Amino acid sequence: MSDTKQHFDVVIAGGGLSGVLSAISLAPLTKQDGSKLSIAIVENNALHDDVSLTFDSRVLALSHGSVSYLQSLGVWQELGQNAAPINQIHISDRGKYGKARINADSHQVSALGYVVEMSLLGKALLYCAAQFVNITWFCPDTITSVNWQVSHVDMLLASEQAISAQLLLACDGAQSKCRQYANIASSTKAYEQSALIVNVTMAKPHHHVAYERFTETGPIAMLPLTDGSQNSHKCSVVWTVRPEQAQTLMSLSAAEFSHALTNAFGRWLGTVDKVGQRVVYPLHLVRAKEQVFHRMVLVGNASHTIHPIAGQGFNLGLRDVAALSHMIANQLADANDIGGFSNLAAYAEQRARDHQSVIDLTDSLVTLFSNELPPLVAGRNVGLKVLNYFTPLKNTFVNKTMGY
Amino acid sequence: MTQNVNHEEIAKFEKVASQWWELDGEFKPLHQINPLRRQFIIQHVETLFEKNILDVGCGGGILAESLAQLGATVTGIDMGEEPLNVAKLHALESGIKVDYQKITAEEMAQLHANQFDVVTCMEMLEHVPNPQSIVQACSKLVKPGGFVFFSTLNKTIKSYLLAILAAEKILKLVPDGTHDHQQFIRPSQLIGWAEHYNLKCIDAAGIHYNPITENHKLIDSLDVNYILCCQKV
Repeated sequence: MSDTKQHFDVVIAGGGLSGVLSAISLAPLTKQDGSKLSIAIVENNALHDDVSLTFDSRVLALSHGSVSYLQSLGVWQELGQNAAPINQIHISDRGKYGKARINADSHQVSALGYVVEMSLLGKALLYCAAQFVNITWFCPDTITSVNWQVSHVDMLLASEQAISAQLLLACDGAQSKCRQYANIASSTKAYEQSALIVNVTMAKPHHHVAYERFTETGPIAMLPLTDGSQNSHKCSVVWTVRPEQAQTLMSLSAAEFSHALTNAFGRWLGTVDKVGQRVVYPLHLVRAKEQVFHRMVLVGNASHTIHPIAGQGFNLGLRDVAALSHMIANQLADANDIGGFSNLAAYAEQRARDHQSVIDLTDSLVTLFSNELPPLVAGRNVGLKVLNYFTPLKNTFVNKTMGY
Repeated sequence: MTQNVNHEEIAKFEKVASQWWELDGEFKPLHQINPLRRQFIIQHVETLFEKNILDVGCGGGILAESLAQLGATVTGIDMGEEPLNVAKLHALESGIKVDYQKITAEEMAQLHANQFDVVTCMEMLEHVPNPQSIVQACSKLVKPGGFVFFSTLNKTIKSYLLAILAAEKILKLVPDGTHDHQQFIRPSQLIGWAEHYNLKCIDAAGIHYNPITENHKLIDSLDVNYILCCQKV
């Protein structure tokens, strides 16, 4: 073991989306003496040039608030071309004639939200992080033990280096080790549903319409993706089914799967021409019992892993990061200890309502979909409910609290 | 020495002890207001990490365990055998360490004067024959400069209507006979006792709980359920 212990203001466990996002949110902040916060990221997996190896193929639907925040950090500028705006949400029921449409124009916004591939967002975040000299990477490395002290946190790494911090951010995912070190229990609720995720090329261009299609087996979301052209045919499909149905769909050949998907989704975009790699994720809600501990905050999936049905998990985590860095900026301005517990507790308190409302929304959607074919009127309500979380007009409460 | 214990009160809690950690059971209101109580404590104490805390009248350990969860060294005392067993069992399950003991506050004060950074005494004073003696014991137990938190029910018509008529008789949220309005304590009276025993009251808040909407928050009004923060001079 090295004799010298490196001290940082903030140590971030995990260099995934929420970890890197936290780092670049905090890196520009200035301390009373004029210097920047010193930040370390400890990431288990070696970073690859090909970031698709680091981040998986899932897509994220970003709300307006999220996009504004990413803009303020300069991340959006790196991503812009690769994010597909949603100009319209189209809701339909298989076996029924009716449909509902929600337009960006009628809500006086340029887009209802944006769809971006996780790997591309990851790449943009890493690019931005690389611009900061005050972010140090320990990678590949892992925190193997955490020793909480009154005035700081001591950590040992797998590389046998010793580091310490005023504040530890646990961004180490749904199975967070840091959460376990602090003996914070988590509750898991299995929805007995799986999400089958696959990128497809459709016969017709999507024209930036997102489709939500209710079928007997569960809802299918067809989200527009960019392919670099004006008339992209590329979409990301999130097909929510019972676990055994997911297995059946996985066992089909590409041609059989295309046929099954065309059949279930309908011909709004013609036939499914090309199918990418199919991945299945079991859906569950994991929720930590506490959001904060002495000199530690759980961030992102370590705090809450949410069913992607309303596409709100990442947006919620991003609002957490924004609130946290806002709180830390205030502490720095007042020359306070950034790891002071009463402020961390106040942060947790401040975020509790947002967490609960997103989890309630998610639960109500899941319950609705796990029953029989919902009538279109339910579909429309669902669409509006989801929209509530996307548009800046309706989401004034969050906008106010977040300052955007 | 006669113990400051109301055996009928103890018997009431023995009977329902198994329900203590049922989030939707008889103690649901307690589970819902616990984060508020803890938040109020944190506001004053700053961090709970490595603080030596005594919870007087800990019952099944809802507050005690939630304080230990944040890194405090917690001792919980109560005179109810069953609630203490439930508390111990739950601590085993959750892996959170709390030292539970069956002992009165007065006896504890004889043995461990000036030893605790924080003493909490929540929803307990209204269940003992001589609450003033508990206040004295709490003062003796806490270190000079340390904090004592009391929460109880105010003796107002509103508290009768809400805590007894609504909660026990009509909505049946808590078992009938949980509270006796005669035992409720006005804030002025409690603050008077505290100051008599060198505890300066530095903050007070009301705990609002709407049993129908289950909305709960800290408020300024001390009309019904209230919590005091005192510091030992």
